[in-house]
Amino acid sequence: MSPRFPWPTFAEQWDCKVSDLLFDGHDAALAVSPDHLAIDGHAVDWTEVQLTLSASTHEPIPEGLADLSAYALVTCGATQLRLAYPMTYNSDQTSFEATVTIHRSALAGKATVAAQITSDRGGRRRVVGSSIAWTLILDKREAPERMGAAPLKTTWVDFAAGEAPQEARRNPSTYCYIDINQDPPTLLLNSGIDGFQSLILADNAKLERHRHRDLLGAMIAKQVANSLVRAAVDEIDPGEFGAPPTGPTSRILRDICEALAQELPETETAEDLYELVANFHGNGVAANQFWADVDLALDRMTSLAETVTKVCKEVKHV
Amino acid sequence: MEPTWAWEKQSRSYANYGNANQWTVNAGLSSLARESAQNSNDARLPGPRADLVYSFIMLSGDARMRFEEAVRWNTELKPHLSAMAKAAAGAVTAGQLQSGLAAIEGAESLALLRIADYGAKGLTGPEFAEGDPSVYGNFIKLCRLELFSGKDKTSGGSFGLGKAVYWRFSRLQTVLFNSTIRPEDEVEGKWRNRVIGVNQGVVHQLDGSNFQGRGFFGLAETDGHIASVWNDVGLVDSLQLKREDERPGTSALLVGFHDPDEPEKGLTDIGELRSFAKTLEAALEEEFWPLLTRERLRVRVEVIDGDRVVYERTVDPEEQYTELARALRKFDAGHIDNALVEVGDIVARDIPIEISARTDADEPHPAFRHTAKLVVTLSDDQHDSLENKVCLFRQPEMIVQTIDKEFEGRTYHAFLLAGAAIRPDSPSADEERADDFLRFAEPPAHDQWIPGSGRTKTSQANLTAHYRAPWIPNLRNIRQSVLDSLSDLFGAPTISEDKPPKSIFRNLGFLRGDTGSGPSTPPIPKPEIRIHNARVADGAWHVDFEVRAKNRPEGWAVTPKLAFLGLDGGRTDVEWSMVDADSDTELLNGAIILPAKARGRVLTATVHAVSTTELPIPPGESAIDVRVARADIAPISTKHEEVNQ
Repeated sequence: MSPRFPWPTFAEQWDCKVSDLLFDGHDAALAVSPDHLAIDGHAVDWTEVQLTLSASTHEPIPEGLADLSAYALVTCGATQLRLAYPMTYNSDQTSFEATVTIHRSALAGKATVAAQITSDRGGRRRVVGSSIAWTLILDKREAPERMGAAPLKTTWVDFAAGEAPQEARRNPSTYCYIDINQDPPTLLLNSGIDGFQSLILADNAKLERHRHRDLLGAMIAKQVANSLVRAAVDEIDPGEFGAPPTGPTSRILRDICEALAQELPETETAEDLYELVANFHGNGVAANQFWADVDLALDRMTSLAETVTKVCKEVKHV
Repeated sequence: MEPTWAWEKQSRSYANYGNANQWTVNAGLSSLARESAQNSNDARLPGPRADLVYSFIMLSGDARMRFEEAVRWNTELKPHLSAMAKAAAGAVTAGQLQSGLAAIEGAESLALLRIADYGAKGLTGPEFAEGDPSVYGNFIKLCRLELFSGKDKTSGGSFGLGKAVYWRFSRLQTVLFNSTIRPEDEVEGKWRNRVIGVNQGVVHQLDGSNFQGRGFFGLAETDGHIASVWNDVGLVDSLQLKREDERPGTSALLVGFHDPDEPEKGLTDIGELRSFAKTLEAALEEEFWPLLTRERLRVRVEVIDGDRVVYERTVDPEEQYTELARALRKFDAGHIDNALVEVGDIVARDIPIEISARTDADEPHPAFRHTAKLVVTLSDDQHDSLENKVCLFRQPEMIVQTIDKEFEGRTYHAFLLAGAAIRPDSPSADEERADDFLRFAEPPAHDQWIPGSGRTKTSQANLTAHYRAPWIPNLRNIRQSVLDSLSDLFGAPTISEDKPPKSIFRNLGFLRGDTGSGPSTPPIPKPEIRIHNARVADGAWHVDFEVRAKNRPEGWAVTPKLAFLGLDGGRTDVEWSMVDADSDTELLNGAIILPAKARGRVLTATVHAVSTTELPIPPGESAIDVRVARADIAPISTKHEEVNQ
């Protein structure tokens, strides 16, 4: 996104820093993660958070702008909160600062905090720039994943065994099942299939085992993605009274929507996808077209199409 | 009386152009190591450790002359060998003799190999094969008979062919022996330095007389037969057959030593003999590491140039096969681990072997199940020739064969102890019986228990004579049982929920928390729009922008939309009243067509578009963006035209 305004604006985002973080008056500097632009607000119980936000830029003030001012904007999608806090120039006139105090009861999931820069233009106060945004995370599931963490849990279980879920026991010969109702969703793999486990876990498989492993891995990945998309679409709310559609609340489902939106021809963002889905409710043709597009996109995204092509080529003369 | 060579007169009704037995022994020093060490091992006496010494000797000048005089080279041996060589056109052995003679006569030096064991039985028993065969000693079995083993239970050989290796590696088919036996085994009061020479040549004619192929060197008896020379120290010294100490055992001297695989080597260059010595060491380590590790036999290899030792080394398998040697010691000490966690750990698994019923009148037994022991250990970083192989051996502690099996990501060493090899100091009766069953399953080369199929199938003729069929399934099941046990150990990697399968999750990299390397081909990014200029004029937005997309065979059809942006992040799409693009860019139903190009990475189009004036809010009050509302493939006709250009 590169929004344009009919008045002069800053071309680049302003830098933004968070300091002096207090939960219920207690210092919580360790909860600030500059690398992730995130504030960890889920690790401790609190009723009020206080932080200092400062915004600055090295970009010269665009021509035609004068008398800059700023406010800190706190937004929370889950509670439809938009709160503005006036910012003031600091003593050396190089940055705007504000101390923000927010009650825990006004927030859910996550909230964003950013500075908005304004200026008088034609007798009206206009937004002429904004800063990078920080995220205040209140729900652990919203926290950034550590590198290398799997997006969902994996469990090996004999689908014919008593401890297997009922759905798995109903199909004891199937190789995988995704339990979307678990938190996080769980991929169950059938350890009862002789050789399946050793094949899937063979990181250094060679030749035919390599091909079978890759093919099975891509097939299972597609099945996982398919299950996640179905669950995400089920959670899309078309919105009422002119409100925009809303998507799923769980992170992994939002992630699959964002990834899928990048692949579908008519969507760029998860919000585009929610709107597309909201619009085809009751339109069978559009729905069918959507699901056909989803199937093809997931083939691509999970490398299934590529793996099939590769394997076919390799075994052409076997 | 002086020792002499003698060949018996040729029979009128039968003639032999060489001893076929030696052709059952493979060439190469590995074969020499296997057969000769097995012979000495079978002859090893119980008690203190025995020694086996391989001495590669190069004789030149006077030293060679003294040896040739002692062996009656010019006067007796050479004339007969030359006569034998005349049959070269029609007999393989004669051909060997012809080339051997030529090589030795043309070389300044003479190479000998002395193989001497100490702490062994030696050449016991009477001189001649007469009377009851059950009283024949090792002397008759080695020097007078062919295809007679008569070896004890759990010994290495069973065909009586192993001795042929000595003649196989002599250019002249000539081997001299010197043996000392235990005083209690004395032969007519004699027990030290029993010397005899044996030539296994071909029938030949010399000075008008026809002779047999087999000739002997020793003392002629009154009937003309040659018997051993006893305790002639001078002769022993001259023949390079002096023994190092008083322990019983046998020294075999291969006259004109060569490796049949490399006959051009070892004629004059002492360096080549050193190279032979090292190759032999390596073969001994590989073939006999269990025997050497258990220290029942110590093996030394040396190279002697005239009377000077120029190379000497005690064979130690632990240097090359460290994991195997240590694992065997741990097994013998009963230090078995529960799992293979780190290098040095060993695990043991039971391998059942069905032993067929034995039908011999004097040693019958019913069929039974023998439990062999599979021992497995992890390999270190030092590669060797026995990794990812299971060495099979029984009481003689020589590797009979290997079962080769690789597992992804794991390198291991392993061995299967069968029969009396499990508890060599106190084997049970059934373990000895199992050992014998496996001994009889071995072909003459003693390199197989598990029958192959097709071209690799070998005959188990020896089993036929002693056991009730079928036995082939019993032997083939050994391999399967070993592989099953290895698969249990290495087939399925440790399962960890903390480590999700890469093969699956590498394909889900688009979800956060990428765990793998991701798909090999990343997804093609969608086209992007770069706004160059945006202004409000005449109640409408006028926007100049560039559409950029990755070049791909399908091309692109990109539909740009003007969006009014709300402060809450929402947007409202607004229709264009006009869209115009570069002259070479096609527009189709509002879509910018970017056909594929034969070359180049990026497809671009510059667009000028004007919004409608029917806007949700005045243009001067709104923030706008241009977004990709649809990114599809280019219409096929356009793509083809462009690519074909």
